[in-house]
Amino acid sequence: MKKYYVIKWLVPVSLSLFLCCISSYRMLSKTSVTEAGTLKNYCEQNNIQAPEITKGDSLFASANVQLQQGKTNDGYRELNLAVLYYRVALSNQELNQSQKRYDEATKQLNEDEFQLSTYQEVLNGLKDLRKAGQQ
Amino acid sequence: MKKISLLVLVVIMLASLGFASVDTAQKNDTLKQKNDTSSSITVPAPAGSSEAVRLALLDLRSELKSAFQLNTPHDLNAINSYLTALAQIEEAHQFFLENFTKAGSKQNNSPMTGKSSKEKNALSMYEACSLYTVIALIQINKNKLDDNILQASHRSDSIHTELSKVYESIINLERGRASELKGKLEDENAKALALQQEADRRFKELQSELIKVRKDVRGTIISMSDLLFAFDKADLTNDLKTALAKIAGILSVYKKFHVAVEGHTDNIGTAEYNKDLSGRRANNVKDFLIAQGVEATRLSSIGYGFTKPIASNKTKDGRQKNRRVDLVVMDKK
Repeated sequence: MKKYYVIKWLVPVSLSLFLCCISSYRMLSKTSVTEAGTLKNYCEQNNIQAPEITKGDSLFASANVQLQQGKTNDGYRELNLAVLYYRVALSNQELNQSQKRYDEATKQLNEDEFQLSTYQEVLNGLKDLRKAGQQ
Repeated sequence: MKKISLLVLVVIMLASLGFASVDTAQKNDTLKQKNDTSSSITVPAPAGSSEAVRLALLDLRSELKSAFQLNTPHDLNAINSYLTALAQIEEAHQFFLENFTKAGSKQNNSPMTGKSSKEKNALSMYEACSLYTVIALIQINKNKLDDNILQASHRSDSIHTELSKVYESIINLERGRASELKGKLEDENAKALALQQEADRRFKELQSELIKVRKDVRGTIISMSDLLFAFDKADLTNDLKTALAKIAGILSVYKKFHVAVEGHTDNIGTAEYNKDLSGRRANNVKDFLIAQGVEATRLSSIGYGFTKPIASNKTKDGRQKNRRVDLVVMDKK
């Protein structure tokens, strides 16, 4: 009866737990690899060049070797770092774009201010002329 | 029992196949990237003991916090990056406290080699924390820049509003000036008209049996009969000189008038003779006016002979009308 209980309940429960763990592990590892790969592809497709990307590429390659050799801890640690390096590069690119937009906005603002001061001078000149004419 | 064992075996084989497929995909990626060179950036792993690394983590935290306090972002990305970085630092710090900080322990002060799994993890965590911090700082700076861009855009909008007000003021001022000028012009025109009317009135006072004054499109025409000249000659009689002196007096007051002196005859005699006689008479009138003080530049003279009659040459009366010297008074050249 005890043996029957083990066969009926314990084995299927253990089996489902085992399957669940395997699928989660595979999903997690796949996500990490996919995220790094996606970022790497994005940087390549957009021709983004930065030392952080070189570093990320290097870590990505090394992580793949580690994973291939079954060193999963080291592999995923390097993959995570690769993702972070890619993210630093992309954030830097966004910052540069913002800086560029800021420079353009400042330039435009200076031009607008110059135009305003010029027209204010014209207006004041006309007012003075008018006053002089009235006197 | 045998069936269950078989099932377990099948499951294990399937799981192994799954791993194998992941490994194959990774192997391909690895081959592609085999030639990548590692770079020499960017996050400095603090050389030294675990305590030095732990303190470096605290430095990262305070740098992050002060950047956040200085430029508090409202962008969700920046806030999220900041919170993530803080959480990672806290986690790493806790890891250091739990694994390396032991009172009186040697490993506190001994340099980290990164050889043991624990040290490898610790250094990797530090590197990750540094990268999270860098990302958060970049996001905070970007947020600040974006804020500045927004402010610049608002300032630009207000400048444009102000600019359109200035434009409007200039236009209004110009409109006012234009209407002022128009008023002045109307005043000038009224004055000129009054002067013209006064001049006409004075010219009309010259009107007599021998001097006729009329208006046409060219201006005021003062027509002087040939009886005011010596017979068949160009010399001016005293009566004519008197009339011309009055005209010169009027011209010296109304400076804007120009006078064309035109000599005319009837059709008796040759055209050449008549042209010459009418020309000499016109010239003499012009010279007399100049002698009376009228500027030569305001005067011109021409002899038309009998080419421009004002009456029929078939009657005695008509021929008498045609023999004349006209002073055409114009208010411009």
